[in-house]
Amino acid sequence: MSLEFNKVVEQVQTMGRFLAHQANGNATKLERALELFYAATDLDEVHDRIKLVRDSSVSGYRGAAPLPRPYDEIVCGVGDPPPMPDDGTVIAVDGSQIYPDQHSYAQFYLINISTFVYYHGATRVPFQATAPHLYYSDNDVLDKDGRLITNQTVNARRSLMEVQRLADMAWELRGETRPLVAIHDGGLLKFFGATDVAGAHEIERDYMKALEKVFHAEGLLIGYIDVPRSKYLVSLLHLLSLQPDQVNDANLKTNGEIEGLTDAMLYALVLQPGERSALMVQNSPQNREYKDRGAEYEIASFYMNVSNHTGRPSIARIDVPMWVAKDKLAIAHIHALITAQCAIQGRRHYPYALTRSDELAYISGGEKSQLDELIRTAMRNATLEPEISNKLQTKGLARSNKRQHKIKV
Amino acid sequence: MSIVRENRNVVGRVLRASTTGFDCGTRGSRIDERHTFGSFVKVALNEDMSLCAIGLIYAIRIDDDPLARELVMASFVDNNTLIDQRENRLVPVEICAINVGYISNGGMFQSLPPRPPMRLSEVELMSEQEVYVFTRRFDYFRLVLNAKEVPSDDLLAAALRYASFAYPESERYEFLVRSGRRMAELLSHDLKRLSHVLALIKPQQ
Repeated sequence: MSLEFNKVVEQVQTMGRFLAHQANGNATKLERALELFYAATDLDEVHDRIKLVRDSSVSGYRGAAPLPRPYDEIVCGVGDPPPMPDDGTVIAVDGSQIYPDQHSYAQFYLINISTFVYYHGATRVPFQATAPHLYYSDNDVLDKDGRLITNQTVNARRSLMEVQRLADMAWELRGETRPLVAIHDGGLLKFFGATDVAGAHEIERDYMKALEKVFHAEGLLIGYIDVPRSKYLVSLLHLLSLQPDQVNDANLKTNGEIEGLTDAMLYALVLQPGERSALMVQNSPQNREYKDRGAEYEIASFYMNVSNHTGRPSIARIDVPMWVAKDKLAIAHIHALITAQCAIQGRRHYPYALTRSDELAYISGGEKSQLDELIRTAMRNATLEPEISNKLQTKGLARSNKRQHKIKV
Repeated sequence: MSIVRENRNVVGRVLRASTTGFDCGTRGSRIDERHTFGSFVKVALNEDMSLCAIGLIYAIRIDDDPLARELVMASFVDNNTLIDQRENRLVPVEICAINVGYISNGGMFQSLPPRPPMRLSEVELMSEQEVYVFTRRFDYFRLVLNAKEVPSDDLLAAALRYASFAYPESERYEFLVRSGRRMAELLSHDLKRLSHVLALIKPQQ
């Protein structure tokens, strides 16, 4: 049976009303959040409040915190678009995957990693490459209990490979035109959950090694998050709105009167085209772990309105490791190069290099079918009979070439 | 079987074909003077190239895609973005040709070829000598003028201008005058059309 739209239409309409109601409620909350935002001018006060949550028994604060002095920036401060550097190299890496399938004729998965390098300031053909990696041995596809690895594991391995490739490219291109910006599609603060991800500890270790490699190549690593849903700033504003004696885990479970807002909603009202927010760090045990491995590896972030006209703002979050965050010139270069990258695609405000690396990495349905055919042929050549499970066969039968009755006009 | 042959003016490879014509494809970055409206091309119908279809390029299409459409909307297109789109992205170019003759064992015939070329066969420009020999007769005019969904008048005029450069300068004027006379016979029932085509091929004195 297909999706019966007559049964879902009413639910969709209810959802629409819910979203409208939510948006109306947010308008009032945003007014309050803006008040708190523009009142946050005293960095000493903010540092004191962060000290309070860090030093006390309070453990539930996951909001933003200013950078350590003297690199801290006023919470409500806004950075104008800086001038473009004369030259610059932008490396973008992306990945896509074919997940392992329990019911398939063979247990395997594939990760396709793409690289795209764009040279600003000089007329040069951008570099592009892809590297597909096929995994099929028991070590690769089974976890320590002999079960097929989860999709989260594949995602984690893909993320690791993306950052490793960025690190390799940054190292390879260390003699190239500076600044050398290495863009990762997604946040830099990774959480490889040990329960869902096989070999999470090793992945984490290798991820940190990759960060170190970018650091030694003096690359400006960034994580680009389009449509961020983070609430770091909103949580900080809520924290600042509390009286010192109200700062406890119970009150920090939610963001109180401004609960439901995201940082992007607030910055959409604050940041003009091309402007950036203050740099801050997220106060979290994960980030603490990163910092414990080396002060340079704590992850900071700022927001940018990457739109280049006064229409609807496009807010993106940019994650940077501390070695980048502490360098004002590096931040200015990143700010300028991301603005330039986001202006290339006209109405779509997204880094061109990321769009191209995504295009390169993408595995289409047709390509997946071709790969399936290649593997089946290889199996037959090795006198193996590729057989998929009855479940998958019957699914294929029932789903294929289904026709719907149509009224001819 | 020889798949790659060097030193030839390859226009593209056949995508689809029939006895009346064929479409071939190439990469956007490779488009140049070989891909000219009205130029004469040939494609092998067998492996030893003793049988070839002769075509006239009547359309060259460059497809867009959503990314290209967005780039067009940008107020400024960076030079490197242009290079990337042209060099790196596989922008497909389709070249359409109608059949106007064929070569069989060294002889040239101005009628439809016996069969279409196979998919992925290489389409190449005819040499000056081949164009010279082929265009000494005008029987292919009728195939062009009667072709459907082809800008036949402009195509024939472009083909004649193209072919005239295969002739020595001393013969060029006479070639165009003879072509005009043959055209006048074929289009005597449609004087407006005739005068348009004649104006297009009028030799420069």
